[in-house]
Amino acid sequence: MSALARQQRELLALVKGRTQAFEDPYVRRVMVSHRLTVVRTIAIRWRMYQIEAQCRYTSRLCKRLGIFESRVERHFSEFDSSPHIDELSAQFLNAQSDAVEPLVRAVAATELALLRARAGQSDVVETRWDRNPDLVFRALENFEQIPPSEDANYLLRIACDLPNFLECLRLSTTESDGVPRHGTAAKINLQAWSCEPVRAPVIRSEEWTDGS
Amino acid sequence: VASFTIAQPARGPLLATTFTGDDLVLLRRLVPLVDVIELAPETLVHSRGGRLELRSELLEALVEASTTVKFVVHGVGLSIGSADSWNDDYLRLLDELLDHISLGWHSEHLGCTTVDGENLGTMLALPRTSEALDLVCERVERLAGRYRLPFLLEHVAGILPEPDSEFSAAGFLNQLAGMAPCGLVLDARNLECDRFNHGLNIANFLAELNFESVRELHLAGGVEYQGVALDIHSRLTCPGTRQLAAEIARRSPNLSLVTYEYLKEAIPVLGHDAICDELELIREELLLPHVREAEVGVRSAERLKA
Repeated sequence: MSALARQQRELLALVKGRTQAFEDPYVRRVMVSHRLTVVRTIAIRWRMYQIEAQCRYTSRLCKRLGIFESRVERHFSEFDSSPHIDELSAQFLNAQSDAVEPLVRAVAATELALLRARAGQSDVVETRWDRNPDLVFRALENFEQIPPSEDANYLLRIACDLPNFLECLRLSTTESDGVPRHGTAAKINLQAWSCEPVRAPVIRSEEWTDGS
Repeated sequence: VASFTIAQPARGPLLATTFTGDDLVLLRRLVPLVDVIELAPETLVHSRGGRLELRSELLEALVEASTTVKFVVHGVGLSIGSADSWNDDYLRLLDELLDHISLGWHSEHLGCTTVDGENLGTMLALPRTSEALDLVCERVERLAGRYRLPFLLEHVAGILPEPDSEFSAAGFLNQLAGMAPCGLVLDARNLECDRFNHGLNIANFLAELNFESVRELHLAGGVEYQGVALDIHSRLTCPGTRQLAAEIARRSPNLSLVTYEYLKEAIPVLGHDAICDELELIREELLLPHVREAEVGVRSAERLKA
């Protein structure tokens, strides 16, 4: 491996915050530099802006739970985090669809499916909820209290050929296998949330100033 | 689409600015104010079926604007300095763009954004070594074979500590432009960042650089963040940046284009009016002196002839 190739590989690991032994003397110098923190902060904050703009519900929920910054940082470190907003959003939502928190999982999986449905992808996605998803999204949209879990199960179906891409069924507890039985599953009216993502995040004016 | 070359105008360089997608209202306001629009293909894309492609509505707008302005491409995603490989996806987007509009030239940053195909999340400046020089020269040759377009490279403002170098900053650019079929983009803000972050002596840099190769000049505004000057394109230009740019313009006999750059993420903060005013200011301060100088030259020649 050439000196340049080795140096760049080690710099990648360093910027991504991955632990390994560093052989290149320059990389070892970078490792203890304050400038490395600046580079990582900018890279992670940039991704936070993008994700906030394109994945508004998942990011708002993660913020409420106090896990947004750490999730973005972990995503940046562990994945080949795309610089393209569409790819980055899909990657992040996909990762959060496997989150340990059931509500984060449901919101992220729904938001990812909505992005894909809007882009014309024809697959049908179903997500399971322990509370009315309509109320959850409305609460996230309006920065209101998230409703508590209920003694019920909801099935949210996302597909590009549904009105507003969505259909929701309230299942009785006996239908928690997800198969709605005739006469017992109630269709929930869904508000058309303002789901259209903002394409370009905005650099807030108070940020990126000296000493912040 | 037939290509064209931006020749060095007799009446001084042309004015350009950035268009990075989304804000078509701004594009319509910019078109009458500038001669050239700078595009970065990777900012004009969306993901479809796991593949990035240029957005058709933006292509339509650009084709419409092409009756009034010319275009150049200034990419950020080629990663010409990655030791393993450059980014073929970037070239695919450039090819797609060239199917729709003609370009005066294309340019890239003298940096590295991917390693083994993985995005770094930042752009690393290259070490000024023979190895990096040979790598970039070989790739510039390949680009020259692939595209019948002039190609320019821009030095990058480094944030990380400077690696050990075999060449000075200007010496490296001189070698590059001398060995490979490319011109240079000089960015006044980048030089200021390097002065702030690495102690670059700009006077020495300017004294050493071969300005024959400089075809394009960039101006942008940035900020300082935690004691580091950032070339983030989030602000209007400072008087000091324009002053340095004017000095570069005076020294560059082949300068064809002066470009004000901003990020699309900064548009809501800057506002359309401020961006348009900035272009008028740059034209007044940097371009009109060349026009007046050219007019004086023409009048003198006519007097001599008479």
